[in-house]
Amino acid sequence: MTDLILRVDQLDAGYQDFQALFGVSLELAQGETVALVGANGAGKSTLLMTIAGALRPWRGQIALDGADVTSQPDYQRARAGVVLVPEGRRLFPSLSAEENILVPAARRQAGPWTLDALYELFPMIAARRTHRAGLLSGGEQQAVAIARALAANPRVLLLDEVSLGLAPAIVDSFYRMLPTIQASGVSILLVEQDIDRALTASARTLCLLEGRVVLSGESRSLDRDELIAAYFGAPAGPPSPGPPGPGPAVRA
Amino acid sequence: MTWVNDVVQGIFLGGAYALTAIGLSLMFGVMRLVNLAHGDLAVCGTYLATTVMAMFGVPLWVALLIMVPLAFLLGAVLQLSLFDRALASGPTAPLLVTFGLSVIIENLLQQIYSANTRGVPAGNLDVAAVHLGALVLPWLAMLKLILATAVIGGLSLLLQHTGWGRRVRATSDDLAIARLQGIRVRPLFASVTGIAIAAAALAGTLNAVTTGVYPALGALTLIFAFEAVIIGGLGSLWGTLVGGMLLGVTQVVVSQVSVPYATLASQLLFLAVLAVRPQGLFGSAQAVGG
Repeated sequence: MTDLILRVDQLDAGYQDFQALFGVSLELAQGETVALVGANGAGKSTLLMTIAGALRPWRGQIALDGADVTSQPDYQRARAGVVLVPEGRRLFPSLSAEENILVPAARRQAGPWTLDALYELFPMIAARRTHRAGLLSGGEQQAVAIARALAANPRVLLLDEVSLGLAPAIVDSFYRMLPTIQASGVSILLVEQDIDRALTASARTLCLLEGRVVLSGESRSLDRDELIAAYFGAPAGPPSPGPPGPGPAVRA
Repeated sequence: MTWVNDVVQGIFLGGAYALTAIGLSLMFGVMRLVNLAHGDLAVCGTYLATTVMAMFGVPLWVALLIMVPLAFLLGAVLQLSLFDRALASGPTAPLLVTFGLSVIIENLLQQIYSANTRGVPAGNLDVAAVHLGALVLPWLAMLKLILATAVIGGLSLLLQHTGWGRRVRATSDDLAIARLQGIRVRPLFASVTGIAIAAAALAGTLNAVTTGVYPALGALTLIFAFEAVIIGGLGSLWGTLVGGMLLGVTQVVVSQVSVPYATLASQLLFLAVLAVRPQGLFGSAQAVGG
């Protein structure tokens, strides 16, 4: 892979005495989209949080552009270009839609995602820019959350379940935007529970099961049945590669 | 006409309470930090101002120009060295830490300045007043009310219309996400506490022109500031001004009937607000703002 942007190597991470990730490795090239699928509690969100710097890994390394950023604090990592669109959107509810977008923009890298460019991508926010984010609809909130992340002109965009709780038509509209975002040079790591969406939107897909990467490959050549088996950890031929489950599901 | 004058005096007194309380309201609104040393830090500022006046023989306003930036610095350093760590150690740690700080400050002041009441010389500022018929408008009280309004107005403008204010409000909404969007929280919190302590020190000094200052004054200062914040609604800056005024008016009007009952009346007002509207008059889901 030529223009490697993000490299995650042998990551172990978790909460207090609960380990959620076991030796997870992945690579992301410039302008590439990689999908991360897996059941609830597989560790997808934990992985994104760790890459974004909100969670310090127990072991392993995260490198951005070849530089080790593992111990870099979250705010620095955001400024360096790794930006998370968190699960459940998590906008600043008392700020207007536009103010939400302007928060990271103050410390952004140079790049194509100006306020005007973002309003062109998301015309629905332009109309509601002065409205309080807490009062927007779910779809509008998701648009603001993505715009807020893009406003930082990230190198790596981490999308955590963009489709959560939204109508399929709205989710489709978000997925139709991904190529535009990608074309601006942004690499995307997206978490998606819907296998078909994940496979169509990405160049490569990784499947997590109980904190481990159990299957990975090019999205168009992955066998759908094999992926579903890996997703649920069902013995599809070979026995489940994961160890006995870690008890209650991890908060994904 | 007397009662009109009483209400006016009460509003002025409320301005003094509000100016003291703004910092408490701001720090709680932004960081959810209840600073039990707030009153003692205000008293610290007063002693600092009197010391500057005594050392350099300068008038009060010059001493204030020197003291207020120092108070800002003191607040920022306290935040960076102590409060940040307390906030990171769970919900009870800030209470314990600021309570401990309060005890330390009070005893230190007693060691250095003795327990006696000290006056703050201000020329004739403490007695000068405009008389409009039966209405008495004391300059010092008006100054405090104007300052309280200006500080609250200025802070609201900063919070609503600057990048700093946007970052403060975003952090107040969701600390973890603010950090993930590239906000560096430590200097932001330091600036907030700096402003809070500077305003408290300014208020404490102006109040001491009338009442004098003694090391144990901090506890009393804290109680009234706290009540103004709670009555107005936690985190609402204008609410704090209104809360302070309600306290002040209650106190002055009741003191016309019976002086000993004046303080009791303001405590009863506080309890009544807690019972009827525990979120305060202007309390809302929005943590910090206008």
